[in-house]
Amino acid sequence: MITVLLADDHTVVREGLRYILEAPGDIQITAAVSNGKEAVERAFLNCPDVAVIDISMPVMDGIEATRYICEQCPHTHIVMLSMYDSPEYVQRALKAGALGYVLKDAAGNELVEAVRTLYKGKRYFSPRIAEIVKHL
Amino acid sequence: MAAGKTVVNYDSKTDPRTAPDYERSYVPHGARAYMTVPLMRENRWVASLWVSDDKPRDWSTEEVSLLETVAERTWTAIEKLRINSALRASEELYRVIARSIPGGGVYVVDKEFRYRVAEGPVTEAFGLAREALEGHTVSEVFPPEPSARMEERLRKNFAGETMSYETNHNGRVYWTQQAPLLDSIGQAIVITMDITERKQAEEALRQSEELFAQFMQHLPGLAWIKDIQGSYVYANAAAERAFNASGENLYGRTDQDIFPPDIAAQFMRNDEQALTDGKGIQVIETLQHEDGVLHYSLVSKFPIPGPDGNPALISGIAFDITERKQAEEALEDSRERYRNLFDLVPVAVYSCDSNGLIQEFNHSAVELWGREPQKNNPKEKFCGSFSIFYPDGGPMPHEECPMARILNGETLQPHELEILVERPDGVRRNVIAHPLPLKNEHGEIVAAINCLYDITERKQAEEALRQLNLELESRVEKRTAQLQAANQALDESHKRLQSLSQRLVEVQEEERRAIARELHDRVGQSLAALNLNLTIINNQLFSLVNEQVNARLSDSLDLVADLIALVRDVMSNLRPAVLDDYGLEAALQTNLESFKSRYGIGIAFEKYQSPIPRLTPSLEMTILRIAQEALLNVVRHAQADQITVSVHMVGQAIRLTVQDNGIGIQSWQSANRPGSHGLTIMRERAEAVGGNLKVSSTPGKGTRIEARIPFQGKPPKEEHR
Repeated sequence: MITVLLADDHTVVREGLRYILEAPGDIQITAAVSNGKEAVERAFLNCPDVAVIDISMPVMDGIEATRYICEQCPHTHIVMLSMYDSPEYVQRALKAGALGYVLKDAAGNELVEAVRTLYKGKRYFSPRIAEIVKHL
Repeated sequence: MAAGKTVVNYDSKTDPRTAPDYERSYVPHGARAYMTVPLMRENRWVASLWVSDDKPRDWSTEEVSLLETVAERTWTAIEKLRINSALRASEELYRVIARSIPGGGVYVVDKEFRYRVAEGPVTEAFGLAREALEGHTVSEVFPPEPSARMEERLRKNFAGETMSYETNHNGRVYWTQQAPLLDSIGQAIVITMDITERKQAEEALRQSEELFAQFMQHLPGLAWIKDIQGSYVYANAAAERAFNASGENLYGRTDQDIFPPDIAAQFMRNDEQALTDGKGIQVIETLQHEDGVLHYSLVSKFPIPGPDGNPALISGIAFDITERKQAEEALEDSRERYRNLFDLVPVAVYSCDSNGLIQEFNHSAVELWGREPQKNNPKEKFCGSFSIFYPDGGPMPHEECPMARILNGETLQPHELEILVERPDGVRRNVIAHPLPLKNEHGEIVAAINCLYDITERKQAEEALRQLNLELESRVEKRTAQLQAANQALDESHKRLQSLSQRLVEVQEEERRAIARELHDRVGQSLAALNLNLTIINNQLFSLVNEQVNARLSDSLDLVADLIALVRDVMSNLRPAVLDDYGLEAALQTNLESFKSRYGIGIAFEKYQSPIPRLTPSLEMTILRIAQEALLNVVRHAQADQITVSVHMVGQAIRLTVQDNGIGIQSWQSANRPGSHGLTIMRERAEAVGGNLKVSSTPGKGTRIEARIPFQGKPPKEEHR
């Protein structure tokens, strides 16, 4: 079972993602939070295998939360969830320590695959992002 | 002896000449009969030769004659003996004398010219010894020529003549006197003395007298000496000329003998005073010279004491000061003329001594002061006016007035020379003082002269002019101020307009950002959630529902995806999140990428080495908007296939250039028309933030747009999203 921490400030999105991730049965959502600060706290508490973190959240944004979690829980692999496909955001996310970057409009189809890939210690990017990462 | 008479007595008892004394005088000697011959010298009885018998005896003629012969012979022998003895004694005396004459000698020479005595140091001085002379004749000792001269002199001595003469020998001077040696047997005595020193002293005296005479003759004045009785004993040539008397006419005569009574009285009175005073006096005496001119002389009269210390002579030295006297009189004349001038000049002039006491002042000064000060009055020092003031009207103490300060050795600045003088009637006059210190040869201030210029009229004219100027100035100032105010208002309104446009841009940007945030937070998130849910539903329902439902679901998913893309586009246009988060260069980069993929035009982005710092959001947005507008212009009008965009800092400004390789601007008129081109919009955006925009274009070779946007120092930290 892959333990996953889920962080998104939009409740509908968060619940939708929880449904998608738990549906296959090999993924368990150990915590679902609505801002970066809570994400960091919960990650410190139970060090999940993968953390799915929205890039823009109130209180503490996803990039900063990623940096903290990577520092404190090196075993937790992070996939960044974002509406933006600019190289800057991708670069910042990778620099903060994220191993995956998934665009939100593709999350329904790609996130499970992404979590599984990260759990194996590999990287995962949405196809548009993979193009950007190649040029970084 | 010659006159002596032989006495013969045959019986003294009976002889009447002797009888009375016979018993008492003759008996004791047994002299009954005697004969005696008196021995006489120079008619004086000296002794007698006596022969007696104790009984009466008749002395024979032969006996008497024999006695007389014996007496004669004896006396002659005695005399000879006596003379020889005296001669020896006198020779001894001569020798003693000779030795006692310093450098001198005594010689006694007899009639045969034989030296009897030759004694004294002079003999040795002549290289002779006493023994070489004594007993020898002159001709035996000396060569014929000098001995002949000496014998001639001695012959004169023997004839009773006395002579004296000087001789020189070996640089010494000898004085010699030769005389017959009286009371002797015809000898001459020669006495010689060394008188060299005396001669030298005499020469010195002579020279000194010569010097005195020379001095006196060349003295540029009269010099004379009178004895205590007033008789002239010396007068120099100038005095002789002045007195019109010389030599014997002057010496031994008195002033009364020479001068008119009143002049003589004047001279004698002064002589008297010089003698009484003891130290001498200086007086001015007058004397009419032979040229008829009355001469003034400065005369110094002083007594010369004699050996006893009392005045023995009275001396006078006079200098003719007639010319000086005349010069003084001429000076007095010129002073008088100066005095007249001094009084006539139309400037007030006065002088003070070193203590500030007023010495002189002219008529103009009296007019200026309105009063006449008292000279040398300690209560009226430095200035003749009772009241003086500073130009501002403040009272000025007299000891602070320019005259007082100049006497105090100060140097005054021009503005310190102006004073106000108040007359007794209360009228005040503006005055410029020109005090001038007078110094002695040691540089000490001994007095000062002050010229006072009355500048009241000038002052009044100046004041009128000043008032006119002031009025003019105030008008000019007023007008200038009005102009400045108008300019300032214009400037302010311009600034207000600029800040208003800037504010407009900022407000617009803020609004856009707010909308963009709303779109992201609400619409974007909701669409994402909707998309997510539709995906889930689609995944769950795909195998359960029919094809039509699946087709509707698929359409819905596509619609949501389109909506998300649309919202992202609008958001990006309204306010690119990357601009807020990563700054101008990142935003430009993102923008150019999407532009390139959308329009298929080659775009090169030139960044410079130093990254562009974060600017205020409105500046960043302005630059980004200008770039977007320029790119759109290229797409719309340029027909270009290559665009180069560059952005970099130039000092305190950002320069953005967009260069294309299109057809260039064909018509500037239509290019600048509002609405047709983005040029106006770009320019307005640039100017709204204080920048400018330059557009250059060569037809057929493209267009270059350059925007210059200044920023002030370090951009303020503004919260970026």
